[in-house]
Amino acid sequence: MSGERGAAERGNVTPIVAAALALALMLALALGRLGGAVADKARAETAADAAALAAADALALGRTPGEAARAAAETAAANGARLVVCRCAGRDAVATVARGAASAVAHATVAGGSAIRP
Amino acid sequence: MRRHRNVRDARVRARPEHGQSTVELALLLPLLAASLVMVVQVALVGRDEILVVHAARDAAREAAVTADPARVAAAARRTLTGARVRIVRRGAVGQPVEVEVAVHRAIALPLLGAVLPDITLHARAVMRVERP
Repeated sequence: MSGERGAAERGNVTPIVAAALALALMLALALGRLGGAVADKARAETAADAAALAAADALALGRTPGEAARAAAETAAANGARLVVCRCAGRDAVATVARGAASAVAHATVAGGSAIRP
Repeated sequence: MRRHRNVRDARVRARPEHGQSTVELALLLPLLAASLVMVVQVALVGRDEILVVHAARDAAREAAVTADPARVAAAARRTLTGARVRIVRRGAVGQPVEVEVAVHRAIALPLLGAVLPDITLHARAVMRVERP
């Protein structure tokens, strides 16, 4: 009887703990990847934001749409991103940028002679 | 009397295995707890990594309209407390302003935390200087 109980209690914790450790490691790796992806997206958003504001500021200063697009491209590049398209004319600047696997779109507008985010 | 001794013999024989799982659990529990703390640490560092990017953007947006370093630093710290802000370069209106934000974090793991180096997370953002 006591032999039965001994067999039931002997060495059955280690596999459970090993499984829990493996699970914790996988969870940590997944969290790391997730955090990195969200941070990459945030960097792309920063570049898009900066590009749209630069284009809107150029438009506010009375520059041509071509010059606004160039300002957007330079600012995107300074943030490590590439300007995909800039619909920059009149009072609106919509910049789309790509940075690695992430891309982002930002909109800025001209109000009262300066660039603002609507 | 004889019956009594038999019971004791059975206990003595069972001793090496009796409570084995409890001992194993006691030995492995600190490892398990440390691994859970590690998961939390990874999440905290990931959160800071995201926040430092946002802080850099907010600082750069502030730096685009003001040359005051205190206001730029305040903008970053609204997003991420403990952020250190450096204005790398700031040109005239229409020129770029570059801001670097750094945050220092100690790894709060038991035992390992004392061995592992503290980490510093960085982020940079560049914006075009606007008229204030």
